[in-house]
Amino acid sequence: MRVTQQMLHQNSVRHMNQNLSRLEKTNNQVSSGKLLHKPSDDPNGVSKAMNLKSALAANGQYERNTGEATLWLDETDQTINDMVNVMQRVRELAVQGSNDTLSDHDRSAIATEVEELTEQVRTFANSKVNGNYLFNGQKTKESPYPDKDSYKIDSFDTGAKSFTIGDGVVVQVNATADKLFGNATDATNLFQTLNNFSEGLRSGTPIPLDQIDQGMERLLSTGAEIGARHNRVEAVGNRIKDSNIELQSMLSSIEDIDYAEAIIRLKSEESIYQATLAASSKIIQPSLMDFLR
Amino acid sequence: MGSTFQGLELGKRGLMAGQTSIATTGHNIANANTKGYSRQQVNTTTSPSLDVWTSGAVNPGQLGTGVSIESITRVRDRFLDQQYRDQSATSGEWSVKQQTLDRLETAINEPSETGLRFSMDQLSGAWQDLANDPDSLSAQAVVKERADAFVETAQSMDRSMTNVKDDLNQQLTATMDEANGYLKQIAELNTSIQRNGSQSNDLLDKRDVLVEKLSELVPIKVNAQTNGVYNITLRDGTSLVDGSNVSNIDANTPITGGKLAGINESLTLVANYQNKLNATVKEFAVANGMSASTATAGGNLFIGDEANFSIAALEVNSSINKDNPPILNQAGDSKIAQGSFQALVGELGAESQAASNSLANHEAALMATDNHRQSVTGVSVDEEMANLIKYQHSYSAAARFISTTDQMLDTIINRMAAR
Repeated sequence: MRVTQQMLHQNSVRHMNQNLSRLEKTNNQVSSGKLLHKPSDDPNGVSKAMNLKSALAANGQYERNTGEATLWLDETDQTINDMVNVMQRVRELAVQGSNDTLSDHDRSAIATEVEELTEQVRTFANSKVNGNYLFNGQKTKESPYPDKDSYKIDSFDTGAKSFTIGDGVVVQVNATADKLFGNATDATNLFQTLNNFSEGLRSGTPIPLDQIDQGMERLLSTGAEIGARHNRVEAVGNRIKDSNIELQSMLSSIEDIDYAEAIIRLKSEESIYQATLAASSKIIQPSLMDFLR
Repeated sequence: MGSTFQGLELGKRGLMAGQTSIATTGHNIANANTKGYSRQQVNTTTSPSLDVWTSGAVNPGQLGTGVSIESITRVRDRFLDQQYRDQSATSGEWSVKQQTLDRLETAINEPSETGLRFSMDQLSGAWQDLANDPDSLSAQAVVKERADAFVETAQSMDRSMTNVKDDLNQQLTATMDEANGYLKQIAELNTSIQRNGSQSNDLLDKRDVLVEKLSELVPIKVNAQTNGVYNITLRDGTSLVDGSNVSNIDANTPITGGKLAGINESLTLVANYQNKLNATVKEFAVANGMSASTATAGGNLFIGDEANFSIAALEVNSSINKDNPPILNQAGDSKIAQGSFQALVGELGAESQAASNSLANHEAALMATDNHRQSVTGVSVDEEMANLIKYQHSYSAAARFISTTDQMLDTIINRMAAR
């Protein structure tokens, strides 16, 4: 094949450009740390990376939701525990009050304490987390037992306060007042029982020990349920963290560069480019003219 | 026997041939880097010989009378030209498509932390925060803000695509004008070449450059006539240049390749992706709750016409405030829309990658053909230098021959008669 200077020149320039653009691409990857810059770099990879990023974003949200749910469950659990403690004192008083040896004065003193304790239970029933009432279903801005006699009508909400903590995983984080204290019409309504107790102490009617036990039982079983749910949320939370790590490493394997490999590639492309430049300068320069006198 | 003075004529012919060859070599060297220049060569032949008496044979001997210049021609291969033109149409077509897809990729702005996917994820997150705390005014405000951000991102993407389309339309008109300009110049050169004869090398080169440029824009067939005229038709036979007559290309000309067809195909491509983006955005808006007008929207987040959806007309329900909080469309699933968007990006990426590869292939093929052609028609400076020396020597020799003849005449005229 007959070769002309222009061919040499054209081809050298083309190869220089090709090598330079490869060098530029690798340099881009090394400096940004990312393999993928536009969809055509790896269509499948980009689409997968987008999916993973969405999954990570959703996971981030689920993680936040899990935290929120844990907060609710913790508070609920704690409050129920406190109420159980109060009820234990009530039961002690009930046993004490059942003694026929007590004087009226003693009974009255016990009744006063029971009334105080009742008020304390009501306060606990009206506890808030983050400005939201714990035990009023979805109406978290209104208190379930605004005053002493509120228990006589069912003014509370029994809706479920739920959080989404995973794809299609919804967990109820609240305990409702009907489960904890009973409806107004229930014979064993906790507030009714406590009121009966204190009134009974004053009037001398028998102490409703059974009902107190039942009331406490109800608190304990609801508390156990909340505890179980707490465990479940924790398990889901851990799983989300695990899956976050998996998703991250998957994403990283798709779009992050392997620095060792990329830098070696960069070095080799750099030397190829320099070789092209050196070769071009040798090839283009001399012609027959340089050797004619 | 020839005349004594014949030597002068013979020498003169040698000088002229040498001079012409040297001039042509100079022309070649001067144009070594001229685009489209084909090297020229002087074709010499022996001039008609004289019959002279010889004793050795029955027939008379033939005495050479020197050299004559037959022609000065371009060294060029018509078939490589045709091959180049065919390939340049294909590579022109792909180059436009690749550029368009590249611009679309920029418009889509993925993978990134600021694109449509990101704003979709953000809105989904905001909805969950709101669900966690339905009465929180800040959570409600965040949902609205995220929706605003989504609409802005989608609209800027849509606008970029419209810009690409507008640019392509302008390019279409400009390219047609360019092609028509070439047609006119080719027809004019046809006339000049017909007038100057088919050996007007430099005009032929100029015309070939124009034909080449034209071949990048539209796929053409060139029929070279014996009188040197090029008749140019489209591949389907539609005449573009017939001698000095031109049929202009317009929007109705059936173009099947080249840059013009590439632009048309790119317009379809952009429209296709814009429709898909439109469908995805609509899907997402509907999944999040969309109503036709603010009056009937209630807590729906978006206002848009579902039957006749356009991204430009999509807006966030302005009536959303603390008395009218945003309500999530429980029946909708925005994940499906996110999936559609991923599919769109994947498809665009694959198509763009394929276009880049095709372009690289066609360009490599074009380069190879060009190399072949250069190998035939290109000027090699080394070769010209060698030729220069060759012709210089033959010129000097011819001059020497004349002085020898002169000495011979001097011998006869001055030294023989005067004594």
